[in-house]
This record gives sequence, structure tokens and C-alpha cells, in this order.
Amino acid sequence: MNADLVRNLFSDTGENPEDVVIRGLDVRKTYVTGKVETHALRGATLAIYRGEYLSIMGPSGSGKSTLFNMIGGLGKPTSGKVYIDQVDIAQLDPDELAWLRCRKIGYIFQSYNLIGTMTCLENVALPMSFAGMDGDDARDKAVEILDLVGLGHRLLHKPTELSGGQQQRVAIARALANSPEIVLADEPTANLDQKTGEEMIELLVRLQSELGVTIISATHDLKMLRRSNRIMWIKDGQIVKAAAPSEIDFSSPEFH
Amino acid sequence: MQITPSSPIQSQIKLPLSVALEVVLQGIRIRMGRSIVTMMGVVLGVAFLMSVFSANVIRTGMKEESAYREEVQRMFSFLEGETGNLGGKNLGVIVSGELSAAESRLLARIQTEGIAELRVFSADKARSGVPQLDSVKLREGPAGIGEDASGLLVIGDGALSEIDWPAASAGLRQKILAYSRESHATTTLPGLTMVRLDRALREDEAERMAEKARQERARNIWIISIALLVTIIGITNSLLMSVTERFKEIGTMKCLGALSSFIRQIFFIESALTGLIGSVIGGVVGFLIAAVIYAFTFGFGLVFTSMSFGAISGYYFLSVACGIAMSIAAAIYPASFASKMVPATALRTNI
Repeated sequence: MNADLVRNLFSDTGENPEDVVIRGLDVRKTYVTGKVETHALRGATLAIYRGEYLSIMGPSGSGKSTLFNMIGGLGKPTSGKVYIDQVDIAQLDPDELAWLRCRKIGYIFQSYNLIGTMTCLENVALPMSFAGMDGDDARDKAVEILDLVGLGHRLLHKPTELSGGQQQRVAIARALANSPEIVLADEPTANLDQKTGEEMIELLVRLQSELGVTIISATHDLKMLRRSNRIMWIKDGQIVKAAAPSEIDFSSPEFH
Repeated sequence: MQITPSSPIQSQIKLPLSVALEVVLQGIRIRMGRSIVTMMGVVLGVAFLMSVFSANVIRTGMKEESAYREEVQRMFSFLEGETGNLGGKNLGVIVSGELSAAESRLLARIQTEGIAELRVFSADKARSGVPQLDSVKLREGPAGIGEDASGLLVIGDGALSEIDWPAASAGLRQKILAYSRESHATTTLPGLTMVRLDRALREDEAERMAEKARQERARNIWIISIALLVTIIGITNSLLMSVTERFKEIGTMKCLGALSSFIRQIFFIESALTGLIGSVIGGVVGFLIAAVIYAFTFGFGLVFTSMSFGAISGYYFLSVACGIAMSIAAAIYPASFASKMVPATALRTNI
């Protein structure tokens, strides 16, 4: 598919293709373990708009994490296309994909995925050194970001010496390291206490409203859902519904 | 924080090797326990290889040593068989060219018998191989070397054409001319009894020795092959483990923008470092094990005097080189596998 074709495809919907930061077209992903095939995504089609705060909801096993990996350029779909900034990421070579993951997208993983041999400071500075930033500058900026997430006093601790919530905050700080345009967060508040969780939501909302960062987060946290611009439901590997929080009855049983 | 406005996708820059080195050193330092276990695999492999090499060198050295001792004893017995007990007597020695190890040991052996004077004259200017002994008196010329002496001993690999034999043999008590090499037998002198000290191997003896050497060589090749195999398997296994258990970390780094080449660099640097340190230690350990076992069995004196340190250090470098090469080779497959991994797959891997 070339760019023009995509442009035509998108123009039908009446939206400006420039506004779509990530688009998934009939994304399918099948995992094969031995003889068992698991269809994690069964043709997910979605558009994520530049600068929006999108929450994705779905029961466990619905393909949420797979969707995250696919739209974040961390994995290859079995079929279907993923466009980031109108570029089919299947066409990118490994070095360009690395650049994309390094600069354009910040990932917050559910299991944090911090590097155990590095201190908090080094974990946060690592993506900056991958981006080619000088060691000292990277450290200065990492200190600044860790301060922002309230871990300024834990700079030289190893992840294993921190609580789950603190590790999550390091993961958030690391995702922000290279000032990404898109932040992909998998349950970013799941392990945080009430207060820190709210602080993190504030931080994400501020990134979105003040800096125009696109936030995509998987969550069941009502507070997060209420703050987002749009909520998307994924079920059995397909996007089944998308709506603004104002159109949703949060008192329904699915939110409890 | 400033967000960079939507920019076209570029290629990720390549990081200098020093960044990878730093990451590796940090990893080794933090995971010291695990790194040591990995390194022990290399140490073990290289130690085994080196101990086999060392044992070989020691055995060869000891065999040569006992062959020398036998030969020297035999030459000495032949000499004394003609001259009688050499204690308190004089002996004229004519040296030409280089001395063999056995010949210079013979001189030392003669001295231990309490000889009064060993008069040494060297036909060539260079008196190589003549040991520094108390009773040795170096002479300028052959004249008078036989004065009051029990006999003349001719040793060395040079020619004897220049010798003034009548002057040399004047005043000999016993008209004996002992020579250590067959080539010297051409110097026939009237009135002197020629005594040949060396002994040519009989044909069947030579054949038996050659057969024994062949057997030994086959055995060595077999043992060294096994040692290499054990080393390869040991090293590959420990490095493979250390790579595979870190797939998740690799996945994370790739998510953060690490290039495949960076991942490869990390593993190659790490395995080269592990290989280097492990091999250096392993070589020493292997040598010590072999040396100590042989020394306790056959005596420290015999083992350490007969050992060729040149050969030992040669094999040491060979073992270390083998260890490093195998460590790097062992990292090729897992490193390239890991570097090609899709980040999502690497993250899902549970070891």
C-alpha cells in the first residue's frame, strides 16, 4: 500500500489523515505454540488521533497487550497494517524502527521491565543515550524527570530496592525520557497507591493538554477513564466500541 | 520538557562501543555472582585443557630427564670402567663445538666424583655448554692437558682436525682417549686406547621406541580432543545460559531504541571479557593442578627441573586463546538470535 492509497482510504471517513497518529487496519495476530493457534487479534481496525487521551478497556485475554505491541511497533502483525504518522511500519528497516521506538513512542509496561542491573537514574538515562545524548546531559535530564515523578530521592537505587509503585514511576519516567509524541501505557496506575495514582494521571493529562502528547493507556481505573478523551473497548481481539466518557454510564456493572 | 513536533522517521544512530562496554561492565559488576558462575564454566574448560597440556609437557620433560640421567650414568660408567675411580685424579677434556645436554651433565657428574682437576680445552673459541664447575680449569691450548691425567675425554659436536694430539696426550697416566660421539672415532691415535662412551641404539630398540612414541602421540591426540570437546561444551553451555536468561532485558532495550548491533556488541563484549578472565585464571589453575599432582607423585625436584617452561607458557597462551575464541564463538548464535528478536517476543520470553 502506498501513501496515496492510504490517503484515499482515509479520506472516505472525512477525517484529515494528518490528525491520525496511529492507524490499525484489520490487524490480526496469531500466536502458534506447537500445534495450538491462539488468535490474539482478529482484525482490529482503529484510528488514534493526534493529541488525544485514549483509554482502552478490555477483559484480560482480550488482546489488549497484543494490540499495544502492534500499534507500538514492538511486534509484527500476522496480517493487516499499522501506520504511525501515515507510515506503514512494516516498511521500516530495523534502524528506523529503533528510532521510532526510541524517539516517537514512550512505553510504560505493566510489568515495568526495568533493567535490574541499572539504577533508576541509569534506567531513565538509557533511552537518552540510545538517542545519542551525551552522558552528562542524559543524567541531568533523567534527574529532572525522576524529580517530576517524585523519585528524586531514589536516584541511585536499583529497581529491586523499590516498591512496586516506585518501580512503576521509574517506568513512567523512562517512557518520558526522549520526550515522545506518543505514550503507550499498559495499566500505569495498577500498582500505585491512591495519591500517587492520581499524581500520575495528572502528569499524563498535563503531558497531553500542555504538550500535545498522545496518550494511549490500557486501564480499568475509573479515575483514568473519566479523565480520558475517548474510551475504546476491545473484546476477543476486535475493537467493539469507542465512546467519549460523557456518553458512558460509569455506574454500570462492567466498571466495578 | 519540550516535545519535538511530529518529525519524519529517521534511522537510529549507532552508539560508540564505549557505551556497550559500560553497560556490560555494569552488568557484570551487579550480577557478580552470576558472572562468576558463567566464568567458572570457562575456567573449568580451560583448566581441563591446560592441565592436559601441562601433564604432557611434564611427562615429556620427565621422560627426557630420566633418559639423560641414564645416558649420563652410562657414559660415566664406561669412562670409569677404563680409568678406574676418578676421585682425586685429573682428566683432560677437549671440547669442540657445542656440547649436548648429556655431555655437559657428564662433566657435572664427573665433578661430583671428587675429581682433582678437569682441564678443559676448547678447540673452538666459543666454549658453549661447558658448565661452570669448581674443578674446571680452562686451558689456552691442548699442550699439557694430558699431563698426569687419567685420560682424555673428547666431547662436543665440532671437528677435531686442529688438535695437536701428541702435545695433548703427552704425559697421560693411562693411555685412554674417551669420546662421546661416533664422528670422533675417525681420530685414531697410535698408542691410545679408544673408548666410545655413546651407544648406538640397536635396530629393534629404535623400532620399539618409535612404536612407543607413536602410541603416545595417538593417546595425546585423543586426550586433547576430549579436552577440547569438554571445553567447547562447557563454555558454550554457560554462555548460552547467560544470554538466554536475559531475553527480557534485551527486549526492553530494544523497546527503548537499542539497535540490533548494540545488542550483539553487548553479548560479544561480555563473552570476550568472560572468556579472557576465565581463560587466564583457568590456564593457571590447570597448570597448577597438573604440576602439583605430578610433583607430589614424582617429587618436586624432578618435575620442576625437567619441565620446559617455554612449552608450558606456549600451551598457556594456546589454552587462553582457545578459551577466548570459544567464548566468542559460543556467543555468536545466541547473540544474533537475541538481536534479531522482535521486542514483543523477547518481552514475552520466560526462562
